[in-house]
Amino acid sequence: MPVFKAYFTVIRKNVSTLIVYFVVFAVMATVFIKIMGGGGPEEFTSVRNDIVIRSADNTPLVEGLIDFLGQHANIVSLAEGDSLEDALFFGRVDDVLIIPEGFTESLMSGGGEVRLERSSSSLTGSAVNTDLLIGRYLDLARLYILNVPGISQEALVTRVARDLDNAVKVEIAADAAQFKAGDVSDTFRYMAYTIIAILIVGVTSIMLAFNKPEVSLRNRCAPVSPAKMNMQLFAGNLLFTLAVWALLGVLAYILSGQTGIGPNLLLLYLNTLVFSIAALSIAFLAGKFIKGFGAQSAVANVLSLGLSFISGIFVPQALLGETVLKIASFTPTYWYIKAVETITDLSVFSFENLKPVYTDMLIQLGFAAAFFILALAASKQKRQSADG
Amino acid sequence: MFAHIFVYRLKTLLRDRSNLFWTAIYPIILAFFYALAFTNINTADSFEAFPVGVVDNAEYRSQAYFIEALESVSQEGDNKLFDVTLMTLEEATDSLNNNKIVGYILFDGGARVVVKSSGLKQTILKGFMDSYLQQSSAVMSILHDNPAAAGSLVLPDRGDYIRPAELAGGKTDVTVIMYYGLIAMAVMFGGFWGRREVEDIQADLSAQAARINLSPVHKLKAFVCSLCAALLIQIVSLLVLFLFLALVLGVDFGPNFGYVALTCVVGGVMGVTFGALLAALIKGSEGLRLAVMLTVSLLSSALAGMMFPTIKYIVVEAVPALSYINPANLVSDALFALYYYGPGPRFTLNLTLMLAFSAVFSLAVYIVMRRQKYASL
Repeated sequence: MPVFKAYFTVIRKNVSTLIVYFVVFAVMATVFIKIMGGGGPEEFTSVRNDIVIRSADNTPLVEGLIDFLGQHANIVSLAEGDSLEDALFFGRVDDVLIIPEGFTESLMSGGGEVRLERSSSSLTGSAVNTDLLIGRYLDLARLYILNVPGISQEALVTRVARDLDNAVKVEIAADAAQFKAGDVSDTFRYMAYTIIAILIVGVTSIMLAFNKPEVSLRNRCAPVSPAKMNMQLFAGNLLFTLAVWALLGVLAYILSGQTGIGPNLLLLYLNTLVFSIAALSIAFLAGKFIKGFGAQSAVANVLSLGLSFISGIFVPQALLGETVLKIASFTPTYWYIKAVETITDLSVFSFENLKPVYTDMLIQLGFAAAFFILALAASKQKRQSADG
Repeated sequence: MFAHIFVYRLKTLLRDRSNLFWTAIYPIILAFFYALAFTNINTADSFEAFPVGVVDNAEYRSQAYFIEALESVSQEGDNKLFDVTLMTLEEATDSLNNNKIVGYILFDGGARVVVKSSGLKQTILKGFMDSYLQQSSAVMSILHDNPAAAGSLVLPDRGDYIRPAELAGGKTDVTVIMYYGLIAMAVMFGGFWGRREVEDIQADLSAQAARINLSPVHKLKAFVCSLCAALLIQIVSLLVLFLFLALVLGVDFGPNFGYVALTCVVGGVMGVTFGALLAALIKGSEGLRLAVMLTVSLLSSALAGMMFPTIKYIVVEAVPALSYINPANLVSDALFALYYYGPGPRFTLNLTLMLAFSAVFSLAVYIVMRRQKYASL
């Protein structure tokens, strides 16, 4: 199997580039899991906004309000010299609340024309949570102001605080606790980018090496039939793809600290395997058109980043525009991500629920077949024009 | 003589398709991808009502006040929080498992909320239920003190206590940081030109440089003339990138286009001299120089907010010094300062630091390269 052996000699020559992609993947996966991944679903925890409060109205009622907010949000005080505008702009603080002078007086008199001012970060989009918290406290206060004439602020704060002790019981549905979905879905999304990038770099390196005119002419007069040679190259490609898939899979498994393999994780791995084959077909097709090493890194970069941006690998599909998604649906990456999103939310594995997942996988395989046929047609035409 | 070297150098560099791609075309392609992906990001975070189930049983039907309160937040309008569906307990469990609802409310000897995970929507659902229970408790306590008030009890509407305000003129579009980071990356990629200039004039780095060292032209003169050609190409590509971002993609740079262009010019000088310095310092193979340059450029632009805007702020918070030594961050921070505060002290500081860096890089390159003697070529 001389060709098969040569395949991995070429891969070994490019191993440093490939390792860079693996390292970046490991770093990204760790970031996703450690920083962005929430805790497990075993116990319910409320979302706490980070709020900066500037109060110009120092009354018992305002103190009570701030006290209440402190129980359900993180009251942040910025260090000396830190810019409030910067903190809000970059999403380090969710909301800035300004309590103007005279707010309490206007509330107590029942008028309510002095209002609180809230600026919120566009990054977190959780301002509604803060609004509801403030509304909850002040609605209660108003209930007393309207119905207990002449109530003092102190009495008001005590009574409101007593009412606020009531809280609803929240249960986590029993079926949900098996799969830490949020932690791995980002990793599996990002994995698609790594797979495309690595396969394009690897597969095109091989094709560049074998398609060099002098090598290709020498090979044609070798005592190995072209069919056999292609079969060995194909086997090399397949083994390389499987190895990349397995390595990334193991990395993701270790980094996410999974303890078993549930049906969700199995489906995710299956989906990634299917996608790897589609990515191989893309790499194979790209290899037919790349002439030199300069073009190789350009194509690998633009193709992998382009597919990732339009089909929801870096930015979730829910945030993409409709036109972009329409274009993306002509790429296998779009269907891969769609399947990842469906799988992470699954908890009942009935055929009806799994049907969309299998459909997405079949579409990816369809793309793979189409790209392989295109590549073979392109190479046949090239050979014919070269011979003629 | 200057014109001669300059013109021919310009022609040579313009035929370097690989460098042209990475410095001039690649940032534009990346910007285009950004634009495709971020078109909706600022409109998508406005709050949307979400589906919630309510288990329809005898206890639920007896809660007249609750039904009323639920109606007030499920009718179309500004106050709408939930899309409510009445269902049996089995349907509710099933819908929750299949993600048709965020959670459901169940009255079973008191109110309960059942959800699948923690999150903002679940928190809002819990908050609504808490609020209902707390209002009921308040009503009970008022009636307890004054049973006669039952007839005249006033239940206030949900109040409107908050006026959304916007700091600094409502500039909240954080994606601009990623585009500024992209310009910072293009600035750093200018280092490829500086690297090429040094490789083509240091006799131990390429055969062509050995030949140039034999020519009867002062090395400094030859180097400065060629470097000017590289600078021209880099500055023009940065300006094209800026105009593409501002005019084609509509990225907001604030009203001061002149200052943005100035940042691009100074950034061009800084990037090219930065690459020249790296190339002059690293003697190994071309591959090693390329690898170091790519790593430094990408890492510094990532820290300047090219991929995740928040990283830029985290760096400022955690290691303030780093944000002033990172050349890429100076570029993105200068552009951010122009966008957010206008041309003021913060912009001036960044620009001054960029100029200082360019001067230091140039001086260092000069010191490394001058009077080098080669024992054998």
